[in-house]
Amino acid sequence: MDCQQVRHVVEEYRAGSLPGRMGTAVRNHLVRCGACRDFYAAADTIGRLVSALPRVPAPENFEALLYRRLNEQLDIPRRPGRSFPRQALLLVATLLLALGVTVIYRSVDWTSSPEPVGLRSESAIQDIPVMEIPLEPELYAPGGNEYIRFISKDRRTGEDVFVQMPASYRIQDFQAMENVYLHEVSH
Amino acid sequence: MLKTPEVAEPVSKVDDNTLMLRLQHGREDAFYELVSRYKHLMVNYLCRMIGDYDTAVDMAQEVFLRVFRNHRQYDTRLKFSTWIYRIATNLAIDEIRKRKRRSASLLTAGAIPRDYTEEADRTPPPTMRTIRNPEEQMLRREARDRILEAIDTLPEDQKHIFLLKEMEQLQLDEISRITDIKIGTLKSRLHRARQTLMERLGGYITGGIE
Repeated sequence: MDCQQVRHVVEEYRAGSLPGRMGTAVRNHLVRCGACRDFYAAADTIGRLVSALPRVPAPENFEALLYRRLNEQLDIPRRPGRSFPRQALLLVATLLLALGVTVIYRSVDWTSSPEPVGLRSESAIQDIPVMEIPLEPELYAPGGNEYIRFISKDRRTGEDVFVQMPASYRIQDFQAMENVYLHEVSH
Repeated sequence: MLKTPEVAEPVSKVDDNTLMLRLQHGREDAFYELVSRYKHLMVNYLCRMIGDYDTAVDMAQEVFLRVFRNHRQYDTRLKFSTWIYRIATNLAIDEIRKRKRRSASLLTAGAIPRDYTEEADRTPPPTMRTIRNPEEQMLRREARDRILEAIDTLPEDQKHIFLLKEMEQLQLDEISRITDIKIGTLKSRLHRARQTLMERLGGYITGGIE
């Protein structure tokens, strides 16, 4: 091998990637040739000096800055280390919403039903005024003398009243009657 | 999400090209892993090319932005490192040309943050004698600064090849793919780069080596 050939493959020789026979030829040439030996030594020395220079690391906030730029430029809100899948977050949010609705629903008395008579004291019942529904021939089905009594509210005052009416009124008649009389009742 | 079995494997255990494949299938955690793997390499390489740490960080971020923007065009049969170094090299060359037009200063040791230059003082190059006193330490720091300044004087078409070879320790065939330059041309440019450095560093090389 001549000097030009050796210098052409000096990179591979430094990297140890030359085939065995060629590597031996380069080594033998370097033993004999001072100029190529200097060439090789300089190449090797510069390479080692440069590879030994300190590495310049990225700053700690490199990723944070990068993802902010990504969000700005590509409109993809992302954060490093996102470990919770979006579907799971949606599921949790839905469950929490359902739980909240249930709690609120159960805390409200949607029926607003009056307190059962049986739970009231005797004196309390006596204090309730009685509103008697008069007989209305066109609504009353003749043939009975029994009355029913129940507690309702006077819609105007909001107070409880006993409603007494013939037991033979039909339900639909009672509803029509309720609309009339409970508005008109006065104490 | 991918349904192939390897998806279950943590991103930290898969190779770069598989990460790119996953990114192409919408797995952005693969991108985060690639950033984690290459951020220091990119900042270091660009800092040595440009000589300005803040600009190097900014450019390294631009490299990753381009990786993300163009990940669908990436051919996963190629080597990812080749692709990302190619992006970084092109960006750096553009920046150097811009700076030349503005007559701005290029790579100097002073442009690198003090913390990193002090790191060099704690880690002596293998070819230098062990430093035992402040005078020798000063000489070693001076030698390092001279090396960086000498690299800075290299022509643009030699500097990135030299840094890819000697600092990034890449093989010639990979540098050839990164730069689209034939291996024979790379060798001659490396040779010229070394000759230039030897001229600039002559005393430091012969005097600073055991």
